[in-house]
Amino acid sequence: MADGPDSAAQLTVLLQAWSGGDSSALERLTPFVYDQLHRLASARMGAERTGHVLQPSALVNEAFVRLMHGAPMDWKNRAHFFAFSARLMRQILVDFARAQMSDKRGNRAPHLELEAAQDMPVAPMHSDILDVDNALKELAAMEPRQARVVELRYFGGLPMAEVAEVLGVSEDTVWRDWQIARAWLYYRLRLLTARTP
Amino acid sequence: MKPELYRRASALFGAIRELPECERAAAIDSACGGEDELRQHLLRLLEADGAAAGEAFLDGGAIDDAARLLTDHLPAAGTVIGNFRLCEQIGSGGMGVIFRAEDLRLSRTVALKLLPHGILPGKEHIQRFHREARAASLLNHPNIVSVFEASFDHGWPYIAMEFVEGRTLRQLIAGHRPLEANAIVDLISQAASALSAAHEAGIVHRDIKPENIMVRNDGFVKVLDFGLAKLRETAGAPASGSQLQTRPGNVPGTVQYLSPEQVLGDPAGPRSDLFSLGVVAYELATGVRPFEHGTDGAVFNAILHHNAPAPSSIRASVTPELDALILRLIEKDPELRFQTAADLRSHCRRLVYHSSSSQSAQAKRTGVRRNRVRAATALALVAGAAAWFLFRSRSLAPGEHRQIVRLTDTGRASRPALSPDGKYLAYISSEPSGNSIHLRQVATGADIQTVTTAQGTIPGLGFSADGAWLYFDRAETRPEAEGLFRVPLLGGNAKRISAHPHMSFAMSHDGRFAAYMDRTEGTTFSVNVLDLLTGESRTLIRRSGSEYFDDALAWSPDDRYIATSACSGNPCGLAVVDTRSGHLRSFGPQSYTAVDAVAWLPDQRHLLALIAGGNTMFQLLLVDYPSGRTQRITNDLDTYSGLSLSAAADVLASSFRKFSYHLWAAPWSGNALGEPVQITTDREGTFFNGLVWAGRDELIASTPDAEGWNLSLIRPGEQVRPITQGPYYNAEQAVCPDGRTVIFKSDRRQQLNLWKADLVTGETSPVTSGASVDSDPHCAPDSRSVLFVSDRGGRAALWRAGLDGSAPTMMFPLPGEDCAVSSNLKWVAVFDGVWSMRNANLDIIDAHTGSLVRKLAPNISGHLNGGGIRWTPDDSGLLIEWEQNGATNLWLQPAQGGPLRQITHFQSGRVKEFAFSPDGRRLAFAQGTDTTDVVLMRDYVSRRGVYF
Repeated sequence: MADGPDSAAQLTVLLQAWSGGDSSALERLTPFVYDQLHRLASARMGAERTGHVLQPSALVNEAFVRLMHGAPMDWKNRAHFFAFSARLMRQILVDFARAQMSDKRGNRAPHLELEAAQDMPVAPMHSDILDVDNALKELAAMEPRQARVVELRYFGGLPMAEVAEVLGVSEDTVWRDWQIARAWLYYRLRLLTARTP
Repeated sequence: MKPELYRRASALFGAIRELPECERAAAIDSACGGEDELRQHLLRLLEADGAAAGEAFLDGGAIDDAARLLTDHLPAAGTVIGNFRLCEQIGSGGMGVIFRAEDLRLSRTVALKLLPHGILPGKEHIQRFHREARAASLLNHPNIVSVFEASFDHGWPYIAMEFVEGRTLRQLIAGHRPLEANAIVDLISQAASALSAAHEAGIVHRDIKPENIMVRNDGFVKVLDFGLAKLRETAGAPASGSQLQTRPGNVPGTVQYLSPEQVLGDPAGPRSDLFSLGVVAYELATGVRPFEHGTDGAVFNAILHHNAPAPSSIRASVTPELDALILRLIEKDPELRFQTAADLRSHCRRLVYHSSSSQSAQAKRTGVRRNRVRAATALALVAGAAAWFLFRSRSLAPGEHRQIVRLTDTGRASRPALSPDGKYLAYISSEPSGNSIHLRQVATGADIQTVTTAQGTIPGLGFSADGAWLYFDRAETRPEAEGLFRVPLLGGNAKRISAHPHMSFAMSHDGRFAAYMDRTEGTTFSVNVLDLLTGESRTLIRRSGSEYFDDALAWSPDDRYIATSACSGNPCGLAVVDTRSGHLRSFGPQSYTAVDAVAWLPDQRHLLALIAGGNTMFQLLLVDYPSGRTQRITNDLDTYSGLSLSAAADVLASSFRKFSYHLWAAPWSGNALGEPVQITTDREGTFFNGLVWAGRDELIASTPDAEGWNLSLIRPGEQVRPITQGPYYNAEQAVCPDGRTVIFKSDRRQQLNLWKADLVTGETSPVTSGASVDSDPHCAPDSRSVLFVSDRGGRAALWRAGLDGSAPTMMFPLPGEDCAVSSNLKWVAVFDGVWSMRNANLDIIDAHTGSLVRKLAPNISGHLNGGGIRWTPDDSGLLIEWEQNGATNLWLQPAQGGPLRQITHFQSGRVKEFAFSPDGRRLAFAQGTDTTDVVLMRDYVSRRGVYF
């Protein structure tokens, strides 16, 4: 992307393209997410000092700054961008989790076929990502705003202030939505399945 | 859950959640009235809410949950990944966890980095991983951690690399007060050296940060993790197929050290690494990061838009030069930074040099302003001239008030070279990983830079006559790093002058020529002169066979003659070669065992020489030229090596070597060693040049005494009984199966021939004679003849001689000089070629025909350290002296081939001599340390009470 006065205009075009379903948007954000995943993964592996790894909420910021070359943005575009990025991240993370889960259950990536795959200990894997993704579809049918709060916060990693900004409501409202949605998701994913196997 | 009910429950939930637990039931009752279903909903949600809050359900974010999928099941210690067994976890960072691990094939310690499981989900990622690992493994630089291997096992991608003992800069920053300016400049300079090599290879690090830069305990810097580096993006290269490699924004770095161009997602070039290094330098100097903020977004903003305050505004001790250096590195516009890492390194070296010069002036003349330094220099020149004048006067004598100052205390410093003004000292520091040249300021005793390093040896080191250049010879495992080099003292790249290393070299006083000693085809020695201006080389004189030259070389003050040492078999003596005619003229006694170094005094009428007689180690002598009259300057029990004089000859530098070895013995069975027990216990220890069993509990050792090297009988707990006495070299002995005949090497008739001693009668008599060097005696089973190695045919060969004095006969030529005959007399094992790092092959030769049976290569890291070699009692293998990780131990080489196996396990020092007992059930060996430190001498000669 070029520097200079054209950036803002290009951003608008880009955002329109994305929200219009341009598939390149997903492709452009995926490396950010994967990179972030790997950084988090290494941080988890080694208990690296905090502050040396991006905070989850900064991922979208980072992508934003990089893509915009630091060009000043108005609020509307910024909010729009966050909302859209969170949706893309949801898609990327769900795809990733799906691929990982199938990997660990035996459908290995090509390179593993040659390795001593049977030697690898396979522990039961569980990830909330796929379950939350599914449950959010139900929630969206009942309380669409609550579902968006979860999407922006859980998948998009946005701080509450920015979630509020994107949705155009107060931060208090967003907090209440989050609490009830989280309670419902917990009931749905943990309690309900435990009671009705 | 019905949508309508959920909406209603949602509406009530917030208000009820705010209430204390005890009031909730009443509130639910009043809100729900008789609607049981709504009540149930609310109660469930409240219950779930409590549990979710307790578990921090979903608080980490989806990305955290996803990352967990990558990292579960870190392998335990003991797990074998590839060919490596994991030991303890030693660190993390750079996208993975680092273990200390054992390389099962090569028996060495490596650092193994495990990357998160599943980090490479597709073919493209795997290819990228291999590409980067290959690129990184091609980097071969002393300041870069070597990558040995990168592969997958159990789904874990791993990278095996050099194990470095030391601290990361992160640990340095966390654990200590901020470093001094010179130390920071040195660290930056070394890191710049690493980056320069990588950048030249087209590799940008992209993730320079304190965690990725290690400092060994000796101050040596190692940059890690070029594994993340990518091949530099070439203009227009990104194509759809290589998006992952080149996509902007896919930055694998830590945010605080990112360059503005990385933040913007532009391709990271070499200058991006310089920015990151600048951030590191800033943190080293001040303890804080220049772009530190609460959130990463704010850090990005600061990197892009804010100028960091000058380091000196945070810590006043930061010098203006370091301030400027750091601020220039963290310029937002890459054009304003240093343009290359090589530029940065040169700049650092100039800084260190200038700051040391000014410190030296201050140290010498406290309170004197800088503009008076010029006057001080002039004074020094006058002093030099005065010294020269005094040397012009007639005769000199050893100084009675000699002052010796030890300049280093690492025990690893040797072969010093003094700058002509006497202010700087270059010396070689021998480390387990190789040798390096350090430059030290004499006045302050501080090392100011590491000039270069070698994976092999540095046989020569010297300043140019004007002091502007340092020349060094490097003998290496890497051909591209071998040869004669020169490097500007003020910083800059080393330039190769000739592609082959020499035995030794010396610079002429007019700066035009380098004289060098060469050894070709094993036994041909030559003195040569290289014209540094034209690059042409000419040979002044050759000698071969038993006529050879020792290492010593020095140009006479008028550059007409080159002093050296010429040997005829053995002994050796001093000689000069006329550079015009090539004519060789010997002077002085021709009865020395070896000459290590010579130096002319400015009057051209005296030389200093480090000379070993048959009876002494290397000691300093004053020699009149051309009369050859000698006077001893030093008389120590240990030994000196290397000799360098300042131009005015008022200061002399040498290195002093001290030996402290003890004897040990251990049971031997099944090719394995039991617990060793120390036999000799005197505090100081000594040195050994020969060790053999004389019976069940007796050993014969050769050690130095006040007169010479002598054999003595050692029985644990009893007085040592001398076998030989006198001012001779008596060593490298063997005992015959009869248990009473000892055969040894001795120079009692000047030549190094074999002699025998009868342990019962005490009589000694010669076995061989002639102008040859006869070594490695092996007594035949009938105790009537001896096999030995000799150069008497003009080249190394195996000979046989009767112990009755009959003439020796040659059996067959050998490819090397250090050999062992198996006890069944079927095979001879010999190190192939003259001993050297590169030539450590072991040839197994048929002892009857002389034909090669098998060639064995050790195939593990390390190198030979000594020519000792012995067959195991059952002839199934050979013990050799192998150095690895800084310690020389005995290792077993199976005669049928296969990797070396470690037998002794000393963590440091050296096993030098070793022998199996006659019954094959015990192994005795000498083990200890040599320490070598640089010493400076003043007033080493005098004229009528005037000392220099």
